Amino acid sequence: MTSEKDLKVVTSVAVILFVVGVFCYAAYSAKPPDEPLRIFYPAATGNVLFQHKDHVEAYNADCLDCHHHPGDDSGLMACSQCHPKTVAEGDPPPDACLACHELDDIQDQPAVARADAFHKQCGDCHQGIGAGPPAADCSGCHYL
Amino acid sequence: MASNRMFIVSHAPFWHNGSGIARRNFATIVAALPALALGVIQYGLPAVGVVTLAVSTAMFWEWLLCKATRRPVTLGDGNAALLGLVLAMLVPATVPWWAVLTGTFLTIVIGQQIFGGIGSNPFHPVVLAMMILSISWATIFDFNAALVNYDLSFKAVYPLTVVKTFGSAGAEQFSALDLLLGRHIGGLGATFGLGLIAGGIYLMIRRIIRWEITVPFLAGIFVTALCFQTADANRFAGPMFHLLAGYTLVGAFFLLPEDSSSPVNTIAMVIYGFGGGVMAVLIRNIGVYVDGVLLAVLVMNLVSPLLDKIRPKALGKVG
Repeated sequence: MTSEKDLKVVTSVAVILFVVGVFCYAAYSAKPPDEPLRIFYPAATGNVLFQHKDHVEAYNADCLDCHHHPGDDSGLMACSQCHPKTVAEGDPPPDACLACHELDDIQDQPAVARADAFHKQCGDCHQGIGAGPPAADCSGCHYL
Repeated sequence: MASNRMFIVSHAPFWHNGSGIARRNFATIVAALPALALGVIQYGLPAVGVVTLAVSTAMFWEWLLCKATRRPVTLGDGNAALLGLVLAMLVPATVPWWAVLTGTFLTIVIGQQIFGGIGSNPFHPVVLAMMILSISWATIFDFNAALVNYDLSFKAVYPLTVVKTFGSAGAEQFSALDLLLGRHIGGLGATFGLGLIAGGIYLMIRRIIRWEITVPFLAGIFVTALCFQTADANRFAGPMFHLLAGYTLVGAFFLLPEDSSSPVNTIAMVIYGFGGGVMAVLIRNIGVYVDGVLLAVLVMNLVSPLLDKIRPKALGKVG
């Protein structure tokens, strides 16, 4: 049992903490940086934590090594904008493709699904430079 | 006989030594502050938001339950504030506000008040809440996913995930000093090993937690991890890594020795603590979960009443 005086003090502290909490959440929530540091890809076969900053700074990868299409700065967008998570037959091309291409020109070319694109792009690059986990080494990228 | 001294009782009036629930809870809050302080320094104001919201909403739920059940409001004992603080220690700095609100509801209402309030909960309320939360919203409580937007001065991958995926070679990325100084990602107040040890020693010296639980728990972790490493040094990390990574230290000092859910007899405490350590490493090394401490605490909470059946023979009882 708390005395009335103590209860007032404790309630005041709780209210102050609540206001501080709401303020911090409203004004100072962690925001994504302009250029990603790490990118988390959830996957049924094990999640992938891609070290974007390490690839750029520590491994000296060029932006266009991965953001390969159309081969200039206009391709510096999130991979998922061109490579949807799943691609079914008859799906329309992603909006990002239609920004440059006419629908009639590309509707016969289905987009490459994200997982397929990553397996090819990452695997080929790692194999080409002889560094990083090869495509066949699942647990090199996927963790539990 | 010297042992007869323990039965000497003076006449009334008696003098209360001042110890009470409030004093114990506030001492535990003080012990938790060094570890939380580093979390706040590393993650900034979002971490302050998590801590303050967790403490205040935990107090709100307790107040609401007291009012709803027409019982005296017990906020002054610091119990709800402590539980909110411990919950904040375990979660990532980016945990959304609604998860904090849900977490404190689960802690206070489902974990404690539903069983009758302080002293009646069979499980540690925070551990129960964390297990429900982390099973329900796994990605929010996956430290690798939660902290992707923080540019930290150390390798920002959860050490236990690295070891689980890459074997003992992954542990080499994290020196014991890194783990002691909090240079790894994890719960807001669960990564600063030195701060947790300092807080834990303070609590043991003040006898707020029992070393008979904490020390056997750490011994259980050490011995089991050593056995695994001896069996397969490539696959399993060593005992020092398991002692300092994940929730081990916060579990040893703030979760496992909780009064209500732990045994009261000495031998039972030792078995409870050691069993918790063994379970934690078993789950980490051969279970599906990355960290086994929370589940180990729940399992040992479950067997705690059974362990308390191991009790000293009643004095004067014949046969």
